[in-house]
Amino acid sequence: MEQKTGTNKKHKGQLGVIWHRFRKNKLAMFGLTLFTLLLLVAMFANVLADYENDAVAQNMKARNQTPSTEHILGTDHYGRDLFARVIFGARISLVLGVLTILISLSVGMIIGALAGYYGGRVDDILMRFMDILMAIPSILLAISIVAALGNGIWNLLMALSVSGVPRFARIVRSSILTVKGQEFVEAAKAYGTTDAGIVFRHVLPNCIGPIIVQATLSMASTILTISSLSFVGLGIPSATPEWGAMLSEAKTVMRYYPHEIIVPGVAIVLSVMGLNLIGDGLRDALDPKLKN
Amino acid sequence: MAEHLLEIHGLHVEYVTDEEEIIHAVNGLDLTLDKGQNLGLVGETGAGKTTLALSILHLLPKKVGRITQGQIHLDGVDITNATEEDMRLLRGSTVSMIFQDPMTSLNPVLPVGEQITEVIALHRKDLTKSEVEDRLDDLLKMVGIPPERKHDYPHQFSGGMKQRIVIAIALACEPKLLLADEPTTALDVTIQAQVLELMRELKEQIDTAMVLITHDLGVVAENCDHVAIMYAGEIIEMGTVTDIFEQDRHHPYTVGLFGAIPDMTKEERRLHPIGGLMADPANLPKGCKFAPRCPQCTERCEREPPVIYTRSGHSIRCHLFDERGEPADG
Repeated sequence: MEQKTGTNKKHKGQLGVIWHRFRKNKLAMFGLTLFTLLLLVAMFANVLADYENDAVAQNMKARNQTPSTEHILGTDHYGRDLFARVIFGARISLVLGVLTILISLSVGMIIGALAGYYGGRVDDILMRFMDILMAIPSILLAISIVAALGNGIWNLLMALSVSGVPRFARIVRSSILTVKGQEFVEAAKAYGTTDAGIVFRHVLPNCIGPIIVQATLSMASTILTISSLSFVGLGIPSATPEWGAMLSEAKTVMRYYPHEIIVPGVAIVLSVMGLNLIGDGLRDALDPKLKN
Repeated sequence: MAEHLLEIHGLHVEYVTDEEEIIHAVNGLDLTLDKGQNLGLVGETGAGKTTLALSILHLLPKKVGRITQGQIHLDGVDITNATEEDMRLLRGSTVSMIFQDPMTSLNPVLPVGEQITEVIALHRKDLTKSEVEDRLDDLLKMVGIPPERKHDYPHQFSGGMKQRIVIAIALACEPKLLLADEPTTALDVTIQAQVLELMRELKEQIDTAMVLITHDLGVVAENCDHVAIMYAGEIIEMGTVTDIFEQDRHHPYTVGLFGAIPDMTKEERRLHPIGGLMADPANLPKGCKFAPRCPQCTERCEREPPVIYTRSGHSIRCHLFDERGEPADG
């Protein structure tokens, strides 16, 4: 009787179920739309504008223009096209954001997995080190690293990644602790799986939900941190179109030409909001307790 | 030493609790099992049945449980001090274990097919990918699950089907010894019968010896040829199913166990549970471990621990049989 319940129904994998739940969340879909738009704009930035002429070259004849057909978002006080600068700025924020998350996620995952799976002294040493990093506010940590190593994209990337590691290490460790005591892990041991096999095949895939959510939310905060660092003059070298740097340059003329500060500001708000909404949506979609 | 599949001599296992208290889970246990034999291991909760199975696999919780004395020989090899790597290669290939609860012993995020192929791939490095796939389909058919369902996740199966999958994993590499730790306790009675029937069939097919750990004497009578009754980390009575179920020479504990089962043919109004509680494994009685609960306890029982008295293969660890049985050689 049991055997007859074969598979007539169409296969709908785990991902299908999650997508189905995610799609029902209107706010999350709004976030996804925002983020996709941002992604597309960043990808096709060089089609929409010319990096050298529009975004970097100064044009003193066209300073501080308000939006017009020629410059749809106006120009800044060096006469650079704001639209071009914002879309090239999106590239920097997204690339740096993604790279930062990838680096801090992989390092954090290894540290968290080792600490959680082996426990004992390994756990103590690794996690106390993470606690030390956590004790320093991430922006302060990033500022000190950039100040010590000097300005530049690579140093900024390193600074951002280091401050992101402990968050991932902690989340991976705690997920592993809840999973590793379960019977299927013991069963896997009982049929001869290696330690690495247990961690990577059996334990980590069970923790992927919180990790993805944390990655999305962290990316939002990383974009904010990049902008903050550039705002205070650390991070991206000037002239490079970057949202935080644009804010910083516009603040002197904010009273007379508010659009110059609104444009990059809105870009930051929209991308961070998009990512946060996606993160929240994913958290709900990945939580099996919230089915339907 | 004769060629037995599994030989355990004087095994002692201890757990150390956080309060540094020592729990004596297994106390000088001897057990032999031949190829293809079916042993039912019966005893109440805390008797050390699962601990015994875990010690054979070297899966006692790290830093908490340890084997303090005794030897375990598996398939002619002394595995008492085997390295972790050696044990890993044995687990799943020579000796497999089925856990109590199929709901939790499958990984919820891997399709069941992958979980079965993992074992095959781990131990049969000689097989190609397509051979592994063929083996997977055969195994699924063997346990009565349509092979098309190999891409499904554990939550898409019923409890009985999950336990069949667990059985498929355990038997994937045709182990010589199968340790089944209460394989049907979490299932309802009809499914229980199906699963046991399936295990019996498959066992015949691939000629595996099995240790079936259970509380249920009925299950033992149906499925096993030998029975060992455990109490406080010792085997207190062992023999064939006929010895245990039909003879009248029994350890008082066994008598108590049978008294606690309802009998359809008698008009008893009440069951007769065994009085008292399982001996505290942190603080075991000096003499016979069953003495405090034994209705036939004598002064000698409280003083000195009984040895095993064996008569025609049926052994009992009790002073009552001192004169009638010949003392065992051990």
